[in-house]
Amino acid sequence: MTRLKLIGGIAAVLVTLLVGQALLRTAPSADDDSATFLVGGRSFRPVVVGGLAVTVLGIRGASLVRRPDGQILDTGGVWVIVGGLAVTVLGIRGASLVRRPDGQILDTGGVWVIVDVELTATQQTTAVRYLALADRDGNTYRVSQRWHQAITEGVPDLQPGLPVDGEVAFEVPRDAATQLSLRAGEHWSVAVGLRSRAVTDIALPVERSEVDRWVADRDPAVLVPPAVVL
Amino acid sequence: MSWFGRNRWGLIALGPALALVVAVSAQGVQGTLSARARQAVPADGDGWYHLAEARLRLSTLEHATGLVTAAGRPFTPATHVVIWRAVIDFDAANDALIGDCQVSVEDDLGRTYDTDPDLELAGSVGGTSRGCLRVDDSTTRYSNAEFFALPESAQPIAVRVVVDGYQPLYVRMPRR
Repeated sequence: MTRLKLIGGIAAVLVTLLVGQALLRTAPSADDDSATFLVGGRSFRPVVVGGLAVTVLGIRGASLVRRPDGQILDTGGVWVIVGGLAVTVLGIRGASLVRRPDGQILDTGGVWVIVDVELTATQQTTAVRYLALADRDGNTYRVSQRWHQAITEGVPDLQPGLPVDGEVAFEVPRDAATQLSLRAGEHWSVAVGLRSRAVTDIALPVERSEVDRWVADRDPAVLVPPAVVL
Repeated sequence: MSWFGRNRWGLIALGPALALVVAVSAQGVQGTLSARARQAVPADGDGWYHLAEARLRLSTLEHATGLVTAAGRPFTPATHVVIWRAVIDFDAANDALIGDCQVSVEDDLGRTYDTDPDLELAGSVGGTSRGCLRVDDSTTRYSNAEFFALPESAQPIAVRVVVDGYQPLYVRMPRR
């Protein structure tokens, strides 16, 4: 009887562990709940990320709002404030060499993909804090940190309604250069990463022949610095 | 052995487990509190706003003139960009309390602009904002200038001051 109880106890523990494992493997994880939101788009068309899509069914406004308990709140003069960042890919080019502003030339075993982007804050001062190219295999190539680019993660500050145009360089494998999309987002942090954040997913139209031409060209590319273009 | 004896380790572990649950809940509550909507403090009868044991009011908000380049020539911003200067009067015996502040300007569309836009003010001198700290130690009343870049089509309607540690309260000073 004692042995039967012992075997039954062990079996109960094993069944409990198996059921727990099954639940853990099938239940959505925190990552599933808060995966990155990819905002698809095409090159040469603006894509807005980091904001809130709102369908306006009617409009009225007030600078003061009375809560149900009677307290009056100052809304700051507007009803809704949403953050956001508009990203437009204006052009793509590539190079085998890049000349830094200090004159140093950087070579690469892959290829430099240089994206001409227009960045605009839509609602408040912000910056693009995640900037990368992604290939179809899920690899991402963050903006090159081999020198301090004028447009990079966190730089420059973007003022609402003042578009900033300029070029940014990424170093990618040659085989991946024809299957890239631009991932740009307003929010990223070491602790949270991109979870629950919106980033662009703008396909970059690049042909194999273009990549071959870029690699063969030994004339160093000089990036166009950012400028306010309105 | 009694029930308490058989389950003594479980009962001992119950206390720390409950404490952990409460701590996690407290973090959630703090997160909720920090996410509360900001609330503007009202002005007193003399037009001063009180925050962080200081008084402040908007003195002027106008086009910034007199900015020059490093070579001493008049600074011209990019086309359709207007540089604005806000002057805020402070009355603070202990300006360290209000020193950790963020100043922004609000336009007629509700958009907000932070101070010292690097790109728009690149190449200029004299366009550096002072924030909320006192530069001259001789007096409790002082005035600081703040610089912003707005599109030509935007009209600034108010200056906001948010002080770390005093949120959700903030100061919103309409342009007169």
